[in-house]
Amino acid sequence: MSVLQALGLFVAIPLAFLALVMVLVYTPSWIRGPKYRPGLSWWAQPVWIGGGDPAAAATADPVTEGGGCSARW
Amino acid sequence: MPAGDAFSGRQLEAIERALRQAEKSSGLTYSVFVGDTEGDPRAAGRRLLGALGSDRDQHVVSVVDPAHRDLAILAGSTAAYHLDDRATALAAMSMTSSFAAGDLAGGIVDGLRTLAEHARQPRTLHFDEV
Repeated sequence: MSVLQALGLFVAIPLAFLALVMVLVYTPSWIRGPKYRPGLSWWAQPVWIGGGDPAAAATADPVTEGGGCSARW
Repeated sequence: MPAGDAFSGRQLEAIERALRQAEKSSGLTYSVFVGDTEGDPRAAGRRLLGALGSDRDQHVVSVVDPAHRDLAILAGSTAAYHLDDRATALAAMSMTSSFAAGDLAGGIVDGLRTLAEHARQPRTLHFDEV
């Protein structure tokens, strides 16, 4: 067995197998997108879906009437 | 959570679809804010409603603060007439149970669905006497 064959057998093939396992492990989370983990810090930009610009709301006058509720998790 | 967008394209699409369906079925308008509110989602929600101008009365905004694990659902004055506090509490419960399991987008979709189901048209009293 030449040096090249030995490298292929003991280095390239295990590395290729490792890469395949990594692809199989990480593909589902790449497809699903970012996952929120309760208890860990949150760094994503604020987003207001169905509303306007969240930055503009910072200076808006708050409403005083209406209803609603609060909750924690 | 890495820096960047809160949701993937597919998650955003699901939330936007739920918003459209909720608006269609209940006649109210909805939006969802996800971000840091410095621990006071209620005050942030009031400001968000205020920023909507003339649409604020029939609008329902859900404020999700993943950093502080806080949620507030606020309804404008007309929307609150259709959607009582018990209905918003029920939606909040369905949202927080998914949030606690790490599913932000799924919780928002479920919550919007619950809100739309409970946003009832007000009873017309003495209709027969008119």
